[in-house]
Amino acid sequence: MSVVRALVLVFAAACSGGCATTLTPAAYRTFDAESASEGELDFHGLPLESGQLVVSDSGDPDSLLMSLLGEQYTPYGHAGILSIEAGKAYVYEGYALLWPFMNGPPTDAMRGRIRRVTLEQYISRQRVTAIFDPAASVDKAAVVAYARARHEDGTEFDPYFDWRDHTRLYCTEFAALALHAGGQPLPAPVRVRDNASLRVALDWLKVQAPEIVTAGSLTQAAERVALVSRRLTAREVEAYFAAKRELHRRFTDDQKIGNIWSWTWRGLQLRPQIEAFLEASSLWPHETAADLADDWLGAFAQPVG
Amino acid sequence: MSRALLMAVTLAILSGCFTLPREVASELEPVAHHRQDHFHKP
Repeated sequence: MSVVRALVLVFAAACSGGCATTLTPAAYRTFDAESASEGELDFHGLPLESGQLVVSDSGDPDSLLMSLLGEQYTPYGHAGILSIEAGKAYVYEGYALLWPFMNGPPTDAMRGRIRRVTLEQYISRQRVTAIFDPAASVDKAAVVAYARARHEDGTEFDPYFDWRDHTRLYCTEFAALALHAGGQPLPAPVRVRDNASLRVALDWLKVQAPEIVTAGSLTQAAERVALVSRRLTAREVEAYFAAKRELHRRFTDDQKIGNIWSWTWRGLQLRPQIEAFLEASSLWPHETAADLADDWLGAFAQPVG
Repeated sequence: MSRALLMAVTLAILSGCFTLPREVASELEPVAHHRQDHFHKP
């Protein structure tokens, strides 16, 4: 746990407890409605409805870890459920804070519950936020009823990401069960990668579940209705996700986590060449993210078998 | 907000005491030979 991260977390907690956030769409490079439907609420031009799925990528080093953790790549690392209440948009999400600790893994010191934040507050924490309409067969009123119920009964956050135990919920597990309450089949969990270096870290964190539910698995049967990013254009968002997918492809079972991340006084950090590669934010002048990575990170051929 | 500040100071003090276990710190070092590193241009 770094000092900076601790300060950020505490101020984030303070803000979510009451500070006002003013969202100005003009300050965003992407604030796109991708559906012609009117929705229940016009949120600065975005058509929102209770029971929609909100997914996001914060751009933090640990967010990249979530994208690379499973055998299948996922562009988004976090998820929540949208709710319109008294004309205002909120997101229910599984969220935890890291409390002071002297020893043991940080997961032992994480405390959180299913909480409710305004959509403005949610978006302000993310590099990319997308909103998805579940399949038409899903009862969105039942989805949001489940979300509100878990908030009201104080369901705890699961820092060990164990899909097999639903008494505590991590963010994507919570969203998956909410959608399931509305009739959507449960997603197929994704196997955690068989990477020895990653396993050392996961064992320390006490993350023993062989499978996880990823945000990517939640969006498969859904239709994206909105895309928001303060720093990236819609095209740059796609290029950024393609770059992360390339990192996933290169993170083969023989790779050390230290090839991507380092540990400093600021906590978990991306190695400079990884950060620079992701910050390129555009494939130009390359055709694909693989070509760009060959230039920035060196040539790589997919192992056979 | 004052409670948050107090918590921040407490966290900052305590966070300075924390170090990674040796086996985890070792994994967070890059490999010595770039040919084994798919994320570093030789």
